[in-house]
Amino acid sequence: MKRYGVFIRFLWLCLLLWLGVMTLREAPREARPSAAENRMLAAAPRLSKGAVLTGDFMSGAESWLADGVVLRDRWIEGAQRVERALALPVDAETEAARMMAAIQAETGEAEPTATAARSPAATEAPPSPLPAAEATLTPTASPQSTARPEATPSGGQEASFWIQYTDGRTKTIATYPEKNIRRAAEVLNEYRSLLPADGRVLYAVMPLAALGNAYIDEADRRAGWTSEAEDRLQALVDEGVYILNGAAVIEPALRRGEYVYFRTDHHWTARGAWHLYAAAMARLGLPSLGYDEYAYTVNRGMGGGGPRSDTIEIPHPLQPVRSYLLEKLRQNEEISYMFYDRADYPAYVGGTRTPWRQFVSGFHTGRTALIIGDSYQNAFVHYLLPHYDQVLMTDLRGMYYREEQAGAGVQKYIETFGVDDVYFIFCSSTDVNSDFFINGQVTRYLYR
Amino acid sequence: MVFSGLPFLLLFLPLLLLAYFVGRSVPWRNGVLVVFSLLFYAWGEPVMTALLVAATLLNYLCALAMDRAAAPGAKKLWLLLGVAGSLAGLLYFKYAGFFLDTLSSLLGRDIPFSAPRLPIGISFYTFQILTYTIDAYRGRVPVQRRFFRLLLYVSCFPQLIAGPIVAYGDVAQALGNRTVTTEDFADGMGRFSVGLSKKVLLANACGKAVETLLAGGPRSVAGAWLGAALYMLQIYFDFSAYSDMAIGLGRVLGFRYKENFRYPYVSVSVADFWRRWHISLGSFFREYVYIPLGGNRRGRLVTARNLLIVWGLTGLWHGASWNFVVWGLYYGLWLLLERFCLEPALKHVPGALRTPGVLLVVMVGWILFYHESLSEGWRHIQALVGVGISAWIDDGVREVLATYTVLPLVAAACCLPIVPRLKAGLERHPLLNGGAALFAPLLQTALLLLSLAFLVGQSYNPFIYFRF
Repeated sequence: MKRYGVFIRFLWLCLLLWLGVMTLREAPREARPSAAENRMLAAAPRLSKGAVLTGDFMSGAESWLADGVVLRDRWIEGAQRVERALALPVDAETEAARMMAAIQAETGEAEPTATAARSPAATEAPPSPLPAAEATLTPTASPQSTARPEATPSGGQEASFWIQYTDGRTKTIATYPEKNIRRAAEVLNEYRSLLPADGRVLYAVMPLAALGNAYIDEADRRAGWTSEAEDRLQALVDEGVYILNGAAVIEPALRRGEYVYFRTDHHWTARGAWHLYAAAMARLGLPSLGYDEYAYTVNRGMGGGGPRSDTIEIPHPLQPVRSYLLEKLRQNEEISYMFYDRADYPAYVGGTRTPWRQFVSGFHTGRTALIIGDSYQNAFVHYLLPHYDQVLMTDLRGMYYREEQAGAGVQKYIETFGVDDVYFIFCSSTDVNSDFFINGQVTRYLYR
Repeated sequence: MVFSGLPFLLLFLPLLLLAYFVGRSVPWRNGVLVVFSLLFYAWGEPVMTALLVAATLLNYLCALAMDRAAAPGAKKLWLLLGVAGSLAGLLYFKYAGFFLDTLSSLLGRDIPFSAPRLPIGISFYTFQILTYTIDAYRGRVPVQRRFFRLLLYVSCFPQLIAGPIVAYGDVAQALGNRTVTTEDFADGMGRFSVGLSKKVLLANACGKAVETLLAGGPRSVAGAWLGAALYMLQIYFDFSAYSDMAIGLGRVLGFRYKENFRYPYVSVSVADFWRRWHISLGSFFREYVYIPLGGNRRGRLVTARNLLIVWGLTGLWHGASWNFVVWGLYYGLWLLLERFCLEPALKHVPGALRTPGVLLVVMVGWILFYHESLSEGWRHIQALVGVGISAWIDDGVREVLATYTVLPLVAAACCLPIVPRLKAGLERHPLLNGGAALFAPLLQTALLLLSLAFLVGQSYNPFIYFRF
């Protein structure tokens, strides 16, 4: 019996050592964003005398090991399962509201400023294949069409996003104070003021996947959901600024049980992104292409091989797309447009890449768009391409954006690349209440 | 480096044990242990490692000089030099800022002083060094003539940064001659895994819940109670976990450290609580402060004075601020009250009825301990009885109960001496005992794997006792 006890403990040490050695071998050396955790995973620390003496090397090594440990996702998943098993069941909306709060709390600050550089070269391309007038598919929802219950949970100055149940109950997911809505309107108006006379700003916030999946799972209990902030915001913005109600756009698709959100990830699918695109085009009075007009590579097994694992549809462009990383207003590196061998959300344009992206569409429309958003923009950008010569994209959140790499403020990018339209595409963790949007980086990086 | 960190678990520990058991001789093992211990310390305190080595060297030389000195006066002088030198480091790094702040408040003028960063574990290793020098002076332990053995005693990583405070006499022999049996290895690793899981699964989860409830002060009566109760659990599991891991690792390496905790939350009196909580600190103060001051043999007044000095110092040892001093004196006063007033009356009250009262006293003590200022602590104590707070329950309480539904129950159960009683019961039945011997390593394996899983995704992982 003694030998058995010793043998088991000896096995522990073997396991620990194996994990340690494998981690040292396998852990990526570079910092990389974790879409699932909404943060940058640590890079391997640089060994130097100064770093050792200050302790930076050691703390860096601890972070790097923790972030790069072998089978990290499995370990975390196991821990989460145990945590869930030991807790009271929480309804999906409460969980989603918590997740939104957690993600908002995580949205960090950016690094200090750097200097500007020269503009990129122009490209020649064929005209866009889009019909000149009507959309090929009707958007799935009128952007402002959500039916309202007689009494709303929020009254007076606040706006809310809430769920209505079939038994008459309502549940508020988020409340937006008037001052935040006013501030958001100021931000959007400021962006509009930087665009040409025919320029447009479109703003949309999509409910998180957790909310959408809860809607599908318990569709029979839900009478609908309502987001009020968009109407209030629309009333405060200047001409040329369009507010789209993401909750209203996606709700009919959810009702139909469409696969618009991943089950194992907090993002939307390409189909979900397309619904917003179609609604956006309708809102702007532009035609749109149908979801099925694109070919897709379909990869299975996203989120592991469990019963809830996802299938990801990765769209192919109608024209070859050139995808660049921009730094200091210049093309820095060309990278793949889509990652067709991947079975996770970063398959879409390779995930969030810092600090700026440029997609040269292969079409000639004479217009340029800029998308400012969170990771939801990665699945969305594809559908905009036929409408623009090029689409720029940036994620200004602190964990991704590097001011010194950007080399100039957003305004300078707008000016240099001749941006006509700006799209703000967020999920509900970056909504009107997000300090990041109303007081943080979205305004801070505009001019520097 | 901390025991519950991945660098320790995945690299340091397996590599150390590999190197340690490659050689069989004690000098080899001592050498490996000194190198790894200094690396362990330098990982968190690269520069301050020199301070640790210097303090050890000073006391090594003082003890040698004491040994050679013939005159009692000269011996005392070397003792004073060693003690003063060790305490000087502690006073400068830990208390200089506090004393100067207090002085500047009293004088009403600013005394410019930039407080240095507190070296990790300085309170622990300083006291350990003192046990050597003082006991060598008293002739209770032989003077150590090999510097590296003394360095090994001071720097030995299991107890280096968060205790237990191991008296030199307890390990003096093992420094020169020790063996590790397979049973030591298995039991030590088992104890380590239990400690790790207490820290990672219980203490950290309690810590998160406490943060939810008490960040910015309690927001309801229920929040004040639940927050305080969970903090009691957090600090117990945090500190006793570290002691478990230290004792376990010590055993794996061939050292036998004394127990530092004995189920303190089943105490039947405040004195009993302190006989069960951080036993090594209590022993140190009793042995090196209380008894030299005269203990309890010079009448009530001197006993009271001595108790208050010891408890004031105990508070101050825990942190350089007045609320720690008040926390220490709070216990000093309770012990006086118990000794001189309550004991005769409480003698006939069954223990089960006395324990809740003790827990209440301890909980109020931990409230003072938790908050950074006395006023915050006082507000929390008032909130327990609904003073200055209007809500009975807040969202934080609901969230904690929903998120950590089972945790408080498991944690509370782990505070009771269930396992030792179960073990004692099983030992009477050979068949069941065999089953337990089969089952225990598997349970510990599950705890280890679970702890690893939680550690991987856990950014919240501070050891509370590191700040001492």
